[in-house]
Amino acid sequence: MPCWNDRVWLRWVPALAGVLLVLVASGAAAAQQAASEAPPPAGFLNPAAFEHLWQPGGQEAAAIPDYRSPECPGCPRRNWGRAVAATIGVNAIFTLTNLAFRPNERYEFQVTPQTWWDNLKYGFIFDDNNFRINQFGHPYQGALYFSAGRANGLNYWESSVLVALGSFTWECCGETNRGSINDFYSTTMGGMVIGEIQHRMATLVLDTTATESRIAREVAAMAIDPVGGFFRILHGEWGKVRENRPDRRPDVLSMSLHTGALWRGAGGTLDEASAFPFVELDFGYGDLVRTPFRKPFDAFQSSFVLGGGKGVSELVVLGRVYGKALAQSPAGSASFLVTQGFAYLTNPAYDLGGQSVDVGIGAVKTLGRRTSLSILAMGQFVPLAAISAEYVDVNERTYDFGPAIGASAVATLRWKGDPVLRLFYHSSFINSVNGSDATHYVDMLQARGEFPIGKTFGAGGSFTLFTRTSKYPAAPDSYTKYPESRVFLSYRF
Amino acid sequence: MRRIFAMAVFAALLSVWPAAAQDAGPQPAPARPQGWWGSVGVDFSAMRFACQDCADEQPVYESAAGQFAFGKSIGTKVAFGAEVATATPKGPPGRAVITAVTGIARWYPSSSPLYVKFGVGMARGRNSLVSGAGLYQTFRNGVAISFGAGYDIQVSKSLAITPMAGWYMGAIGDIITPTAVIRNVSWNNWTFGVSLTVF
Repeated sequence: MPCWNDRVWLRWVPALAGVLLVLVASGAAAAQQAASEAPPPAGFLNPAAFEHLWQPGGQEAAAIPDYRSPECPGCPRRNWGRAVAATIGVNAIFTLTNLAFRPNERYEFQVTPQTWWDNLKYGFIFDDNNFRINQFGHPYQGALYFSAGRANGLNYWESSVLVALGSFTWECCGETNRGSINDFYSTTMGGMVIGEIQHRMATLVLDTTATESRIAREVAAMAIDPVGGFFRILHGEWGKVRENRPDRRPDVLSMSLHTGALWRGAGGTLDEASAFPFVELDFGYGDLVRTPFRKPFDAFQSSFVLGGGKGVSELVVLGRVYGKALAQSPAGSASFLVTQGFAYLTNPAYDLGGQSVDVGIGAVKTLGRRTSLSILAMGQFVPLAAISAEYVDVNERTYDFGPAIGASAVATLRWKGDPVLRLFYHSSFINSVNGSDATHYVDMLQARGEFPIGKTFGAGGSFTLFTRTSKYPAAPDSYTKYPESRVFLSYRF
Repeated sequence: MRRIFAMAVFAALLSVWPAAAQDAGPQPAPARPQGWWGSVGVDFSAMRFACQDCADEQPVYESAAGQFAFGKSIGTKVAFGAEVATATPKGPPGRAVITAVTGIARWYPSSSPLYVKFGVGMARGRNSLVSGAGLYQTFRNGVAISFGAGYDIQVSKSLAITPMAGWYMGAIGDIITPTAVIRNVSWNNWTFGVSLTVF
């Protein structure tokens, strides 16, 4: 259902995302600089960085107190009341802002107890909003609820309850429109993923022991996690010098910025494809395979792309919510993984999005002194995936909703810790339950090579083939093929 | 809807009742499932369908319903499991058997046996619709999302009576009959009932 960010806030998403990108880049670089004072060395997947963690018995895990522990000096104070009030407050701000700045659509936000009861009585339906609003705007809205929990000392799972509460109360009671099933789902599941990443990145940028450049750090952290920043001010923590949280920094951290051009062929070939500039930020927090599991999202990978034919064109996240080591040695490691995923791919050729739960195996094998190979194989379930389709007739919507099952595999060859060759394959089946009456088969194959130039720069390219086969019982089937190639220069922080 | 509201109040009263009963004399302390658990129950269901071309004001179909669930507790506050919930609405257009098979998470926010639950999974709709001169049967699979709450009233060492309320949202896409296409069918199913929980 439409909300304030539908038409007002989202216009500024590309600009805000650009600012965020710069802030994150500067902040995380500062965080790495601060962290470089302490061992271990932090090269992504650098085996040396893990030697201290390969001790049996999980002593490292036991050393870090729980969030709710009074012995956790840098952690926010637990307060359920404030967290719930902030969640409802976020909704109140959305409603009031819409009333103030959207006079022509004011009737959608003039809510009363009667409109609440009507929405509860009639139940939720699927909405007709466009892809960006439903797959990016609503998850971001959910992240604000999630941050309300994290900023008040609640853990990941407790904060997820707040996202569901915030999402439900917005859908039932924040608008006069009928509540939306798909919004309730994407806000809740997407909000958990984006909210936790915002929380962890803001914590990383913010060094509470710092006395120099402190205001810049606080501002950068607030730009990443606005609700968290608000509560830092409210709690009197803004600028206060104190110990950092024990789990502020993961054992390994990596970030690289890629910029270049891409060509995407809508007609199945690249012959007449136009070039689009793009900027990509890849961020690795912990190691999905080798970082010992303690808490959800203590290891995640994310990729964020601006440009390429649209403003924000990609946001892909894979965060670990459970991990169990199957084998660990200096020569190699393997882990059983349960992850939560977030995918938002939009470009002039196709849209694909959803919030997934994945189960699989990850393994890392040391091939030589400087070379390693990592493999990740996952099965995927997406209760409500969104995919562009030919015969959708639901107002402004051009995509179907439906449950999806899929599988993906990625193999990465690393040299001195940096990825030099990456092969990725994903396949999924989507059964549309709203939109056109269809079943979709989606395949994506990607090969990417990158060669280091010196210690921080690199150059590379990639080729991706995206195909969709859609079967329509009441219309001709379709097969679409979108090849895409990229060339880029990269900078590793 | 008044009847649904009355059922909700009844379920809430059932939840409060054990606390009052415990004040009256020594009773076993409220317990929550530890380890493996299973439950089976009956419900009152109030279901409202929606579709793309339907009017907003759709009737509510009231029917008997049931649910079966099992799972395992992780720690003292969280339990994961699977649930099968079925309702059998019947009305002028025909009759249906609506089933939701979901993976569920139960969360006990405090030390009491009150829990909230959230589930995601598959929906299945078996519909017998009057189409033209005959009765036409359709089967469609889709998606289901649910949430709800319950209260485990312990009656013996390993048995509890659990008043519970749930909200199941489902969607199965288009229903195609020889004479019509009902586009983008979805439903909301509110349930109020009681189950036996073994743990």
